[in-house]
Amino acid sequence: MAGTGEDRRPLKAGELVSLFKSDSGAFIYKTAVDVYGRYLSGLLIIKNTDPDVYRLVFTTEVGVKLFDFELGPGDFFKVHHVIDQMNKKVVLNLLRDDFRLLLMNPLIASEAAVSRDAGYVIYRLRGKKEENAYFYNLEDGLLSRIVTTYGKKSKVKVEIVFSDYAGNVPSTIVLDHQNIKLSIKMSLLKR
Amino acid sequence: MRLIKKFGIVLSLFFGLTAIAYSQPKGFTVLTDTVTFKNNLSKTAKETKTIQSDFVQEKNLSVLTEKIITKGTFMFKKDNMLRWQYTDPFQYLIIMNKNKVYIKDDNRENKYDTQSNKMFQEINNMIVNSVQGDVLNSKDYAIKYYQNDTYYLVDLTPLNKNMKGFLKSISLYFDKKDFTVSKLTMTEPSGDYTNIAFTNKKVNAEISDEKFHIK
Repeated sequence: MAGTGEDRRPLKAGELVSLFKSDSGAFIYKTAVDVYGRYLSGLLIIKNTDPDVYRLVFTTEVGVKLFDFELGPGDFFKVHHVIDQMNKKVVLNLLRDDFRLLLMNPLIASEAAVSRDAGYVIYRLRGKKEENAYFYNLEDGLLSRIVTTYGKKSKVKVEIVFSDYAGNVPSTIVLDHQNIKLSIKMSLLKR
Repeated sequence: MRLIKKFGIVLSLFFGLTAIAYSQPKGFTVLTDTVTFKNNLSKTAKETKTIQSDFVQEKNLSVLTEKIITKGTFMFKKDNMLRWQYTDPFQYLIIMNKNKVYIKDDNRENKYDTQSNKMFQEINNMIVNSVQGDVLNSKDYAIKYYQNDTYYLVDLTPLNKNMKGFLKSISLYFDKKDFTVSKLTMTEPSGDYTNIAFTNKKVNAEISDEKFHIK
C-alpha cells in the first residue's frame, strides 16, 4: 500500500473543526432526502448557537417544519419538534447519528491515526464499533469526504462527500448510506 | 360600597377589558356584520374564474434571526386548479388539478393522488376553499372576523387533529376594495410563522389549462 506510515496521536486544536462552526449566521441548504423509496425535500438550516451546540431545522419549501433538533455539546441531543410521521426512535437515532457525523460534533475519539495517501491527509478515528476517516485535500486543506466503516473487513456504512467549495463552505454535500436505503443531497442556498 | 371594594371592581373591569383588547389582532376591531362580508365574499368568488399574482413568502423561525424569503407566482382557475411556483432562490413547482398533485423540484418530479393521501386532500381543500371563500362555511375551523381600514381579517383555527399538528392558525387578509386575499399568515404550533404577501393580482385574466396540466 502506498502512503506514509500511520501516526496515532491526540488531535491538536484546529484539527477536525466542524465546517459549520460559525458566529455569523445560519447555513441554509436546499435538501433532498431519499429514504426507503420515499422522497422528502425542503430547506435544512444549520445554526451554531453556542460553542459546540448546533440547531438543525428542516422545513418544506412551503414552510412546514418537519423537525427541529439541538445537538451538543457532547452527546446532548434534543428534539424540539418533529412531525408525527417521523417521530420514531429508529428514524430519530438515524438522523441524530448522521448529523453528528456531518457536524463533526462530537467526534468519536480524541486521537487519530494520521496519514497521507493519494493527495489526501487522512485522519482515522476509532470509536467503539466504527471507524471514521476524514479525508482532507493536500492541495487546499479542504475536507473532501468522511467515511464510516465497521467490522473486520471495514465495510462502508456511510459516506459524506463535500464539494463545490465557496471559500470554506461546501456548496454541495451528499450523504449516502451503504447499509440502508438513505441518502441526503444538500445544495447551499445562502450563508 | 366601601372604597376598596369599589376600587377592586373598577380594577377588575379594567383588566377584563384589556384582556379582551389583547386577544384582538393589533390595529383591528371585531367585525360585527359578518353576514354582509360573507355575502360579498361569496359573490366575488362566484364571479371569479381565474386569479394570478406574484407572491413573497417570509418564513420566521425562532431559532433564526433572519427570515427566509422566497418568491414566486400563484395561479388559480375554476373549479379547483392551482399552480404554486417558487422561482427565487430555488425552483419548485406545485400543481393541483382535480385529485392530482404534482411536485417538481431540481431533483425530480412526483405525482400524488389526493384521494389516497389524506393530508394533501386537506391542504388542497383548505387552499381551494380559501381562494373560493368557502372556507368561511367550513366546519373544520373555528373562525373569528376583524377589520381595519384596509382589510377584513379572518382568523381560522383548525379543529381537526391532522391539521392541528401542522397549523395552529391561519389568518387571511382580504382587501376591502375587491375581496381578494392580499396576505396570509400561517402560524405553527411552535410559534414559528410564515407570511405570504400577494402582489400584482389579476382577476379573470385568461389562463390556459396548460398551466395546470399534469402529464
